[in-house]
Amino acid sequence: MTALMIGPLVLTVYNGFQRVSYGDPGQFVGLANYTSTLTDARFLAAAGFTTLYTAGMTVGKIIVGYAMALMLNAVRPKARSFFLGLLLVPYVVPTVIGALVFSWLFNDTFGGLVNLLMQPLGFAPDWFTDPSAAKLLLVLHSIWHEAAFAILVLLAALQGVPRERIEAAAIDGASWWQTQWRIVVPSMRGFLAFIALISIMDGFRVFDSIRMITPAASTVGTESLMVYVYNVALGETQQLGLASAINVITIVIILIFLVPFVRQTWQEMKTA
Amino acid sequence: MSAPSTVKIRPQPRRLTAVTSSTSVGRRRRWKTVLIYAGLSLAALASVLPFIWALLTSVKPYTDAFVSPPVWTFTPQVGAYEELWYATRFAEIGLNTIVVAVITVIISLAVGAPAAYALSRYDSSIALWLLILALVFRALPRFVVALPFYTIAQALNIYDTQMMLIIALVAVNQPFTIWLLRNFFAELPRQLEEAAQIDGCSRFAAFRHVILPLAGPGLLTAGIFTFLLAIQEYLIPVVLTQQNATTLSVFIASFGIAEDTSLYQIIAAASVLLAIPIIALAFFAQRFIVSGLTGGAIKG
Repeated sequence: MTALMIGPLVLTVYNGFQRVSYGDPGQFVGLANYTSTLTDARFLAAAGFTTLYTAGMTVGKIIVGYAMALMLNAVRPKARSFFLGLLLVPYVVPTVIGALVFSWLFNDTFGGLVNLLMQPLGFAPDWFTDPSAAKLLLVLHSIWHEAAFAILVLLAALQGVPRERIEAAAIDGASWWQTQWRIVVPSMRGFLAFIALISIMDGFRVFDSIRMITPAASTVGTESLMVYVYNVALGETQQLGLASAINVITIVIILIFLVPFVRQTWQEMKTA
Repeated sequence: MSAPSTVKIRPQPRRLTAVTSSTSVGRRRRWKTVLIYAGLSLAALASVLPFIWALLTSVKPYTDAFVSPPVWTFTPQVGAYEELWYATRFAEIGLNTIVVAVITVIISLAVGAPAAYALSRYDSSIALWLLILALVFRALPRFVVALPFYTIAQALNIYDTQMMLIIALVAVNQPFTIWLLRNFFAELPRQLEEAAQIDGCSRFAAFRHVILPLAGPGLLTAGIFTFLLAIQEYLIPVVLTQQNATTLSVFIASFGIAEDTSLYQIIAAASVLLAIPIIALAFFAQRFIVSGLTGGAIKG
């Protein structure tokens, strides 16, 4: 089982040092793949977009998740599970299909429902060719797709916030905002960090939705690191070595974000 | 004891203001409830609107389906569904998707349950490292698995087979399965299998007869998640399959990227048919999905 996971990883690192394509023995090229990747403008653009995307959707998911969790926490259990069932739908349907049908709402070919609703506001871009609108569309899709996870985690977290502290704050005359900001949010810090962590991990490996919503990603500036890997390894060229090097760089970025989480798990396990 | 006496000595006028303010609080609370339900309804509508739209697109006559602003009155048609079922490989690929997902679930649980149980019981540092490894692998990009597997599949001549696809899906989903099951096993008290062992059970018999039956909800949760992940997965089947072993996600996506309007209604029909059972699952198995999603965060 472990071999199934470690084998591919070792092969990836090994290929990163080779000039190799499929069915080819390969040739050792040292760090050449890494130097050419790190100086490649297209890689840097992909890294920049991926970071922007990850930041946008992480913040968005936490805000939406928090608001929804507060509302769900205030309604009766029957109503809660009804709304939760509907809110879960975008999360459980395959990403590629969700992305496809979500993008149809923004597509004039399919009636352009969103632009129709937004016309009075004077904001009706072409979501698939305007670079900033395309980026926004991908972030919106991600929030639509994955907010359910943040909602569930924060809903569970809300039920663990000590009631006495909220009541004490109310007696002391704290406003609603003050209670949320000073008491509820700090007591859920660990959960918010957990959501951010998972979201960052998912953000850096985004592929499915971009492939569906903006197939020609490199022309509208929505090429993520993984879409770039796809294009390098299986699309325009078959440079497995170069793609492996980009993979290794992405792994390093993700691992850096994982360090605090692993350390926390480590400490919990030691004390448990 | 002191609380009621303070209420008693409260002078009359104050009590009156307390009454009036409580009705205004009541009115404000009613407004708050209305706003909350309105907010939730709006969010719920936004969650399912794309699927409703896909359904409308699939049943509209072709001349009405692709005009802006949208046409609201039309005679529903099922032509797209007939064409999907009889003229494309939808049924065959759908069956293949289910077979692959079910076998992936069985193998994942058969391998994952004993491993997770061991991890929950031995807190030696090896178990801990394995757990951290499982977490790290959960975080890795899919390509790290997909590209080497592609090379291996070509070399062993098992490219585009169900076996290759299942091996890759198990490898990708296993860390999550183990992580989830470990949390369930960790909640079951050790005394249970210790008692069984005192009564003469071997360690494995104790696991089989005492722990496994109790872990039912945990196994079901892990099974549902593995099933969903196997159906949702796009990158692994798109890289590892071509014709024979391909899944519905790949099938629908390949149509979706094509820029042929005449195919759009068939894609919409396929999306609706795939989404309906999964949405039903989200309602009927909600308890397990919720516990699976929050399990890692809360109990971890």
